[in-house]
Amino acid sequence: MSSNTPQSGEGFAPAVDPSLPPWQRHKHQPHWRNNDDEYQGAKLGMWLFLTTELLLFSGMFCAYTIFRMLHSEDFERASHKYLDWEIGAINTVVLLISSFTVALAIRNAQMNQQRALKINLFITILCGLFFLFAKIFYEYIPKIQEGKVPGANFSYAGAESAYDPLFMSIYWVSTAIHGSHVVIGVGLLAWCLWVASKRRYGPTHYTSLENVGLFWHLVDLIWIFLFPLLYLVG
Amino acid sequence: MSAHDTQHGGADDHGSHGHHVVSWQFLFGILVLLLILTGLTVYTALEVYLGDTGNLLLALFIASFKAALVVGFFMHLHWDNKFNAVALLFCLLAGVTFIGFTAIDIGSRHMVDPKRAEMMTPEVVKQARERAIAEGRLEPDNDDSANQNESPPE
Repeated sequence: MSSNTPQSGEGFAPAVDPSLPPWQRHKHQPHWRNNDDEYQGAKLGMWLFLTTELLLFSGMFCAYTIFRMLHSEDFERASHKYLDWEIGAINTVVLLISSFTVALAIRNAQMNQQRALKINLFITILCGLFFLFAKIFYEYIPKIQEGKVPGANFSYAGAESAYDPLFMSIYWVSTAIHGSHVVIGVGLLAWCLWVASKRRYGPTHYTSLENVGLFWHLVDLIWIFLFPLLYLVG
Repeated sequence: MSAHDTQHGGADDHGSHGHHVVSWQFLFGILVLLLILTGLTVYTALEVYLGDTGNLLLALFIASFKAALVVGFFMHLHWDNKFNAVALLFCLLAGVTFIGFTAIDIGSRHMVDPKRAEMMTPEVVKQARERAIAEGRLEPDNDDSANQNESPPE
């Protein structure tokens, strides 16, 4: 399948056979020995980036830990009072399905199933957009209208404790930074779909698809923790 | 992988690099398991009462198991270069240290000085003050004596 992939040892590229499908024409950058080293190096770089992302979110989980320990009763009450676990649960299911479809898309690239690759990427994008739609129109906008906003701007008349704004601060910061990752992830997936439409992903080359997939799984991973901590156990 | 010879553009050139292809049935099984565990998280949080900390720990335990499924199988770490797994484990170690030591600090301030426990929840403050008064480290004030004179069942 990959026997005709052009390889060069010293960064000297032989002419690429234009009759090959686009994914076989991928030529690694001259500072790599071969396509596989380039793939492994890019993936290690992606994993290192993901660790910094986890540490970014661990700061928010640390703030959650501190304030939940200090005001556990207020947090539990605020969680049930301000957040609707059903929306959170639906969004969890949607993100899990999208993680599954992006894993399928990588499998499709490995198997050279070009049509299924595009369909699975498209479903993943739709799931991401659904997540954002539910988040914005069923959570963020109603909360803003009722004054359930973070910190000093909190103006909801039904607040029962001085710590309600604190809970909302943690909710807004962690879910909005997570949401911004969903926005970026959807953009990256759309770019992958465009690349896939050019048939540039295939069994011997799908590096950027793999790395965008890793990023998308990270978004899912963070939500796996945010959902129970914010919506369920308060 | 390190001694890969670029001269060999053979048919197995890309088949031997750990590009592990997972069957869709296996991936679908992981998805079903993740959805069942999500249902379990919701059910236990809403219907099973194990106390504040008990419910929190159970939810965290299930979430960690789900995260392990995603990382291991959806993100292919189970079949991947082990160096990537080492990078992730060191990050998790840093995160656990960061959050764990903060929690130990917040949770043990009343043991050092009951006066500093005023940041804590009322029950913890009350217990800490009672213990300090019993050990003669703290003078009771009006609130403490009021609490002590009341008989528990009201």
